[in-house]
Formats: sequence, C-alpha cells, structure tokens
Amino acid sequence: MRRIWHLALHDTRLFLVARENLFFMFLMPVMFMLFFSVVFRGNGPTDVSISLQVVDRDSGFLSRAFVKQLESGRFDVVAVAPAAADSTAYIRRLIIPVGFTDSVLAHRPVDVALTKKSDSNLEYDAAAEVRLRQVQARFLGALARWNQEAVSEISVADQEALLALIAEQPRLTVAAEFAGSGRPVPSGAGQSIPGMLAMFMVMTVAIGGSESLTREKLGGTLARLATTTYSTGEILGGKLLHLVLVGMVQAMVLMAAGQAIGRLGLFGIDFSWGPRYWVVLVGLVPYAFAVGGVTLLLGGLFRTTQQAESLGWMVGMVFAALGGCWWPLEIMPRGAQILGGFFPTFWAMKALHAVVTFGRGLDGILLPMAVLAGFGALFAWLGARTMKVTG
Amino acid sequence: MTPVLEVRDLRKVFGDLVAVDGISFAVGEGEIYGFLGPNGAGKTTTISMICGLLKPTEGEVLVQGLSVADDPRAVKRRMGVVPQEVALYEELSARANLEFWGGIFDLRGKEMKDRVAELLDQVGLDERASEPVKNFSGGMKRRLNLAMGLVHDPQLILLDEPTVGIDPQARHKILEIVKQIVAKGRTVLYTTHYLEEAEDLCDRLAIIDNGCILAEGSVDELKAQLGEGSLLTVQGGFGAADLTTAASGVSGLQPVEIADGRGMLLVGRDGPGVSHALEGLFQAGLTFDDISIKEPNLEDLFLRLTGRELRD
Ligand SMILES: Nc1ncnc2c1ncn2[C@@H]1O[C@H](COP(=O)(O)OP(=O)(O)OP(=O)(O)O)[C@@H](O)[C@H]1O
Ligand SMILES: [Mg+2]
Repeated sequence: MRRIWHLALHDTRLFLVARENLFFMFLMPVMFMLFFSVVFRGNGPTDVSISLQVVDRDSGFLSRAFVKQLESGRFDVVAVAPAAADSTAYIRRLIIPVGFTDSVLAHRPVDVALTKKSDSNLEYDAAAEVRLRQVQARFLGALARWNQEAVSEISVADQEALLALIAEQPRLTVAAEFAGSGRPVPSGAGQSIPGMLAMFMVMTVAIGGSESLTREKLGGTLARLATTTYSTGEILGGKLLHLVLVGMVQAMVLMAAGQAIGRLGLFGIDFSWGPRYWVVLVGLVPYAFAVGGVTLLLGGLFRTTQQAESLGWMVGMVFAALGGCWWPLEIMPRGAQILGGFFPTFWAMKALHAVVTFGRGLDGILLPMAVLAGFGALFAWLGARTMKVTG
Repeated sequence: MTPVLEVRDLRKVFGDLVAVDGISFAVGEGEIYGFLGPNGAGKTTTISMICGLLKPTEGEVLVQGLSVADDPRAVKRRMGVVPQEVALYEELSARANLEFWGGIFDLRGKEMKDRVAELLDQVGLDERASEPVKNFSGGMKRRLNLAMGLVHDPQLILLDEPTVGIDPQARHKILEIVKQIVAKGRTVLYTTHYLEEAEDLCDRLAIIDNGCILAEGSVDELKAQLGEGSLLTVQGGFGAADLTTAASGVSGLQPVEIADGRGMLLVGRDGPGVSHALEGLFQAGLTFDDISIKEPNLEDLFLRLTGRELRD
C-alpha cells in the first residue's frame, strides 16, 4: 500500500502543479456554482405553485372558501365546472363532493379526493399532498376561530368573516414542510451547488486525469514504471488512488466554496451543507472512486491527449446532464430518470440531496454509496483491462 | 562465473512480423556489450524482453542466474533501464524526478539525498537541478534520462540508444558517464546505430539486423572478419561483372562488396599493395570517377554482411 501511495501522491502533486488543472478545479466550478444558483433560483415546488384542477361539485360558500384556502396555500387552482370534468384532461385533480358545505357545518366528516395521473411528477405529487394537508389544517383552524354554529342561516357578513380569516397569514408555519415521505424537488442553490460539485468532480478528474494518463502512456513514463519493481497492479492502483485523491480534493474545494457562497450570501444565495458536512464528504468517497474508475477506462481507451481533452469534456457533460447535476431529474420525464440511474452522477446527486436537502445521516445514503462503489469496481476493472501499462 | 546477463534463443513475433529471431548472447561483469543495428533491427524489442516489458514468444533471459519470467521483482531490482524515448516528468525539476524514482526503489532520507546529489553531479545537472525539466535542452534531458536508470545503483544497465538525436558534445558527455559506470564494475548493454560509438565504447558487440545476430565479437575480431588490409572503394561507369573479373586477375585483391558502378575491395596487408592493385584494375580497362582508400571499419562489415548501409 505504501508503494501505491508513493505513486498516487506523486501523480497528485503533478496534477496540482499544472495550471490548467487549477483553473478547472477552482475558478470554473465556483463561477458555475454562482451562475446556476442565480439562474435557477426559485424553481421547483418549494417556491413554485403546484397546478391543481379543482372540480367543485358542492358550490357552497364553504367549498368556495376552501378553494380560496387552496390558492393561498400555493396551489395554482384551475376551476373546472362539474359538467365539463369528464372531458377535461388533468394531471392532479381535487374533487370537492356535493354537500361539502352542509357536512362541514354539521360537523360530519367529508372527503376531498385528490387524484393523480400516473405520469405526473412524483415529487410534485408528494409536495401537493403535503400542501393539501396544510391547507386542510389551516382551513380547520379558520373554521374553529370563525366558530359559526348556525347551520341554516349564515349571513353574508359571516361568510366574509370566514374569508378574512382564511386570508390571514398562518400564525404557525411548519418549518419541516417536506419531512417524511413528501420530498420537494431541490431548487436554486440547493440543486446547483451540489450539482456543480458532482459535475466538476467528474470534469476535473475525467479531463485532467485521462489527459495525464494518456500523456504517460504515450510519453513512456508508464512503461518506464513497469521496468521497476512495481507490478502492473501496483501501478494501476497508484493511478486509481491518485484519481480518487484528486476527486476528493475537488470535493473539498467546492464544499468550502459552496459554504462560503452561502455564508456570504453572494447574489442573495442561501445555501449550507448543513451540520452533517462530514457525511457529505464520506458519501463522496465512493463517488470519487466511481469517477476514478471511469477515468482509468478513458485513459486506457484514448489514443491522444487531444482525445482526452475533447472526449473527456464530453463525458463530463453527458454525465452531468443525464445524472441530474444541471437540473433536478425529478422534473425530467420518467425515461430520463431511469436512464440517469446508469450514471454515477445520478447516485451522487441522490446521496447529496439526501444529506443536504433532507438531512439524512450516513445510514440514509448507504444505497447510493453501495451503487457508486459498484460502479467504481466495475469501471476500475474495465480500465485495468484496457490500460496497457507496458506500452 | 555466471554472466550478469544471459539471453537464450530469444524470439519475438508480432503477428506476421518476426521482430527478434532467436538471439543468444551473454555479458560478463564490468563489460559493455554493444548492440549495433539499423532502424527496425529489433534492438528495442530485445531490451523490452530483457527488462520484462514484453513477454518473449520464445526463449529466456537470466540476470545473475535469475529468470526474468520467474522472478521479475528480484531481477528488476538488479536492473536499470534507460529507454530510447526520453521518459521524464516534464513539469518537475531534475531533482524531483530523481527523488521520485529513488522513492520507487525505497531510498529514504539521507541516503536518498546523497544519492540524488551524487547523480546530479555525475551527469552534470547539479546547477540546474531545481529547474523544471521542460526547460532543459535535448542533451540535458538525455543525461537526466540516463541518471533515472541509475538511481538504485543497479548491477545491470540497459541503455537503448541513449545518444540518439543530440549534438556531439552532449553525446561525448554521455559516453563518458557510461565509461564511469562500467569502471565501477557495472555491466552495460548498449544499443546504438552509431558505429563510432560502438567502436569507441564496447568491449564486445553484436551486429544485428532483421532480428538476427549477424556477427559477434570484439571490435578487432569483427574487423578481422573483413580480412587484414586496407579497403579500396571505387566508383565509375563499370558493370559489376567487369570489376569482378578484373579484380580476380590482381594478386592480393579480394572483392568485399561489388555492384554496378560501385565496388569495395580489400587490399591484403601482406600483398603487393594498393598501387599495384589500382594498376591492375586500370590495365583491365576500367575507369573510375572516384577512388578512396581507408582502414576497414564496422560500417564496411555491416555492408558486407547485409549488402546495405547501416544508416538509411
Ligand atoms: N508492439 C509492436 N507491434 C508490432 N510490431 C512491432 C512492435 N514493436 C516493434 N515492432 C516491429 O519490430 C521491429 C523491430 O523494432 P525495434 O523497435 O525493436 O527496432 P530497433 O532496432 O529498436 O529500431 P530503432 O533503431 O528504430 O529504435 C520493427 O519492424 C518494428 O516495426
Ligand atoms: Mg529502438
């Protein structure tokens, strides 16, 4: 192992003295983090209204009040007349049953039914459910304070009193809005900063690493190493460890950068890795391993350093786009989400979101970590078979 | 005594191409053994098999009695390889390159420091030791390339054309270093296609072409294969047959290599001499545009063995 470290540290030193690598490692990713955080600010259901078709079969004053409550609960309500309901397409639809107003006033339980089309976005559905519960809670709260006992005669003034209560800001907002199974889609900096971290770990390692591997292969230093007492396994192990180290250096640099951006509130960006930043770091180790494995394979396949530069770049881009570094995969079609699973970036983003957005601990990211380690082992094995050390 | 390097029936085939075709030789302690051959002769392929980079199709390599195939680590510890293509870390300084290589061979601390300083001094790079190698001239890179192979003070050093593409002064420096290494009892296998180097440096050498050893021995032994005497080279408008016939009528004159318009003949040392030989050829009615007389060298031997010039 000492011999493998000797090679890995040597290569990492070489990597860090190359100026173009530093550009990739420090300047570019921070610029991208800022850019994407600002551009994508305020997207996703955390801040965005969720569209909801409402069929009000009751048409009583309380059902109308409930619709008002929905609108103030960040639903984008599209009302559809009951007669037109069957012929209107929808993604999410809420049906307020006949007799809603009467039942509520009579303190009888009543169901409002939320139906979803099977191709609707799951994460948005979940967010919709959570918001619906909140709307119900607030509606009940308003009803309680309104405290109207009369069943038959409700004056216009009373009705307006209820609407006024509904329009009031809630006194208590539940901070952990999406705790539990209802997960929001990360947005803004919460998506972009982890996304850029995952993307630049691929970019830096795949471009810089495959370039240096190709250069060593062509320049003879790799074959020269093989003339020493080092075995092929030790040489490749050293290269792989080096790539993992570079990946982790990149990860730490960007974690620090992300934290600093959030702390300083640059461009009004609100971000933090949260109290479990060390879980983030540990979770990124198998990701760095996967990225290192991919890079070893690229280094074995490439014939020229130009190939490494251009194709390495492309691989990084494809991994980033399809793995959900640029935009949340949750907002992509189902097919894209399944495709994403074939890229390490996807699992890295899953792990990052689990820790950073949902506050999960190490035990919450064991699956993505295991998948990433599997990717790493597979690619490293392929890479070792492809890489001709002895020239 | 077991030779430091022994190569037995080494053969390497790449697809249809036989790069090395059954080579055997042995090199003793403190000896410089030369491998003289043109481009594509199979020199690098042989070296690669000796140092374990290539697996021989057939044959075996022993270093101090140990087989490269069976015990690569022990063999590689005893061997320093200087590849034909300069293989250095361009971004690092000469010292950092040597230190990295020293670390590979488990040098540490003061031992490492002393060894690196000694080598930098030996190859004359001590004053530029801290500069990145990419700023170095071709000759300086070649010297560092050589030093890298010496870090662990190996018993056997394989030098694959260590002077290719550099100026005479830099080449001279490298030859001096090689002589110093051997003076310390180390053994060197030296490949080259410069015959002056081979003549100047090597105790024994093999002339190789198309993967075969055509002749082997000390420089004097090899020259003796041409015969004792001077080489007479003539050019003119004659045919090969005319010259052959004319030469056979002159006593003490032996054809070495004859073609249309060109001939190389050996004038025997004990015969009647060069002027007698030329007179005989003139009398046979031949005319020449150019005549030269010189001592035979390995180039001539190569020409005789292969019918080609060493340098294409
Ligand atoms: N990996 C390989 N695959 C196929 N053919 C090869 C390979 N390596 C060498 N050869 C061929 O084997 C022959 C011998 O090559 P080699 O490099 O050993 O020659 P050399 O004597 O070192 O020549 P030079 O003076 O140009 O270095 C050449 O014809 C070369 O093209
Ligand atoms: Mg060669």
